[in-house]
Amino acid sequence: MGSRIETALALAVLYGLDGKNECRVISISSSRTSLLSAAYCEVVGRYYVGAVSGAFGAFARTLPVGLAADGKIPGDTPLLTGPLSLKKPDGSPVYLHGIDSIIDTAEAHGLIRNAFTAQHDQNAAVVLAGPPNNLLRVLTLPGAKALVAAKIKHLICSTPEAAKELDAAGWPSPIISVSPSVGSAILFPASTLEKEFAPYPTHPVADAFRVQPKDCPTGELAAVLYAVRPSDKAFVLSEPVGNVRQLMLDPAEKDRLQALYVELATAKPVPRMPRFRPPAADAKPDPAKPKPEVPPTKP
Amino acid sequence: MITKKTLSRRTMLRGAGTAIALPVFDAMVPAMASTLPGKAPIRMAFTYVPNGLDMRHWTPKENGPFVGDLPKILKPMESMRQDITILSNLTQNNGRALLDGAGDHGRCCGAYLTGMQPRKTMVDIKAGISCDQIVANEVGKNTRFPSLEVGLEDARQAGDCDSGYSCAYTNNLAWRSETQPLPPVLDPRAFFERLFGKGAALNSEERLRQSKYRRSILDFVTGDTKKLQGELGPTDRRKLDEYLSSIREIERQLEKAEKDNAQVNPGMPKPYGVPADFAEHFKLMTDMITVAFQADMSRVVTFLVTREGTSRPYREIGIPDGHHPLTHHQNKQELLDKVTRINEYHMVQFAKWMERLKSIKEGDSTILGNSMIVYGAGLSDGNRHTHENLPVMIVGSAGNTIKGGRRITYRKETPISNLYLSMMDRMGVKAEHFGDATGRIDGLNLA
Repeated sequence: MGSRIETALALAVLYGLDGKNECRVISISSSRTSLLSAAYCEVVGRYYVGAVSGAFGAFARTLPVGLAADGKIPGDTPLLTGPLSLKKPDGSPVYLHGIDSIIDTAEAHGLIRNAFTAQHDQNAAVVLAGPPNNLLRVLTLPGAKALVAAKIKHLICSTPEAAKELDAAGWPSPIISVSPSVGSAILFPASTLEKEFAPYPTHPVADAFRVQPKDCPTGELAAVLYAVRPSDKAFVLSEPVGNVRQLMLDPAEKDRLQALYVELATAKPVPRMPRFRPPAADAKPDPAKPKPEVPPTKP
Repeated sequence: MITKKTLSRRTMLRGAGTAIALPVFDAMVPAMASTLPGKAPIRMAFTYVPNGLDMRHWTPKENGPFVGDLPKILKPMESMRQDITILSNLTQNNGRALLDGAGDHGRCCGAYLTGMQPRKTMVDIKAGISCDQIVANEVGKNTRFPSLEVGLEDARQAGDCDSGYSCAYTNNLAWRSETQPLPPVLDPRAFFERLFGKGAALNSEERLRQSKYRRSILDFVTGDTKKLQGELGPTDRRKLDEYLSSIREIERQLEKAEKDNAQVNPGMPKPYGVPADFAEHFKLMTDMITVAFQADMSRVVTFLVTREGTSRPYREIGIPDGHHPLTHHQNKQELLDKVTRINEYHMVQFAKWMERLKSIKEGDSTILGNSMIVYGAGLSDGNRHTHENLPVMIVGSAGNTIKGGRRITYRKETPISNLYLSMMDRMGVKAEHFGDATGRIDGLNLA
């Protein structure tokens, strides 16, 4: 997270689908060794409050963010520093987060493995929008390959290089590699900043987009959409080479897909009521979290 | 003059139906070896308290060396603050539901030392071999008992103790294999006889004779004791006296408990020698663990203070409510305060045990210095049944390999199994992996 705006937009699409109850976001990790990268993921998660789920959703808490600590992709980027340095008129930050040091993040490979353990067989998908360092480490954990084979329906990689590397490392579930032509075929319009994103006084994805307000490719967005809607008629798969299939697009579906990406990425957050558990005894109100909207009682 | 003649490490005091192991005497160590580091055995123990803790009063505010007063629950450990290490953010993922629904109490205890997800069942139980037993399988070859399992409450092994989880999960910490838990000994008399009375080997005639005349087991070994005293130097003689006195004191407590129990109706089935008073029971059992450590009878102990999910009341401190219902306090201050008081009460008893371990010299250190005693729970917040950021305290420096007096915070979701791997290393057991560990924890070592 932090190299390209597409990754942030893809996260917004993912939460948009979560808000439609089409999926549950169970784990988020960043391959970049940058606290701001983890902080930005947490900010987006908090923005879509209520879109947290799994073991953590029961307690209405944000998901812990996994962060690569291997230093292979270091550094903060303007896409991260831009939105995270925004201030309110009183000087306080626009986006609050709880990540001040490495101990506020989770070890990515353990976190991802744990998320898999809580899924029904063949009921989870993994989207990789970046380098595969975290997933490669998952494979080194004892029993992880069997766990992946049991739980993961498919892994969707936004680049052929990552797909190739994971296939070589023995990733046991089917791998879908997004063809580079998919990303360039549909551009996410920067005009959304003046249209669809405009009604939101603050939006962490829009504020990152404003750092480089140019139309951008949508390979990562296609990866997310395929992960949740694999039977969408826009997608075509190649014959497998090894364990990898290429994801391609039906050109006739371009306009529909572009509209869908915009709709999902700019969708209004859908908060959910916390389930079952009361808040912690020492919990303080989180100013970053809007109060969940309680549906009116029917007469 | 230096001789290499030493007293055998396996010397025992023997009498009719009795064999008493001895602590490490200077006379058992060759003179030239007396200053060698690491000669004292390292012990590992786990003390488990149920229903989570009031974490507001557990966690020191600052990461790193302790600053100012310790939090309320840790206060009883104040005099040993340099001997304790608080570990934050350790998680037991396999205690979580993971698609198995309700039953956090059953799961968290079954997973606590095994690092495995317990099977939700009341019949064909399955968890995993616990880390203490992995160590016991190796280190236990050198001691009379590979491991000791001790508890203070319920040892039922069957029935439903939490939403379809067998009582075997809530009432045991140690698992010899994935299907065989090791129930804790609850009755002090049974524990005493196991340690000193040749246990099951004691025939009924001898047991009757000892019981009939209410004689101390020390009376049966008088001859051996006198003989041994003649072979020891003044320091060792004093050590022997202290050791035998502590055994006599345990006997005295046992007799008192049995006498008291004959006069009171506890209102529930209880083994004959179990004291009605919780603190007395705690002390008696931990005194015997101390003696077992002192005499190197065992180096591995699991101590289940009360069973996971217990609803035991604590009338002795003015709390007639059950522990478990109290932990679902819904943030009501009155109930929260009671939970904190129970947590403190447990810690007071534990601190007394730790003080005792610290008071017993062993070579250049103490028994506590040569131990690592983990105190903790399988849940952090009992109200919400959370399995992350568990309360974990290590007491002792495991032979000067753990730096105390501080709080170490690990990254979120770090498996507690990582700690167990690091502890196994210190016990000389090099396991490649364990449970859901992702590696070993760092930062424990002396700087």
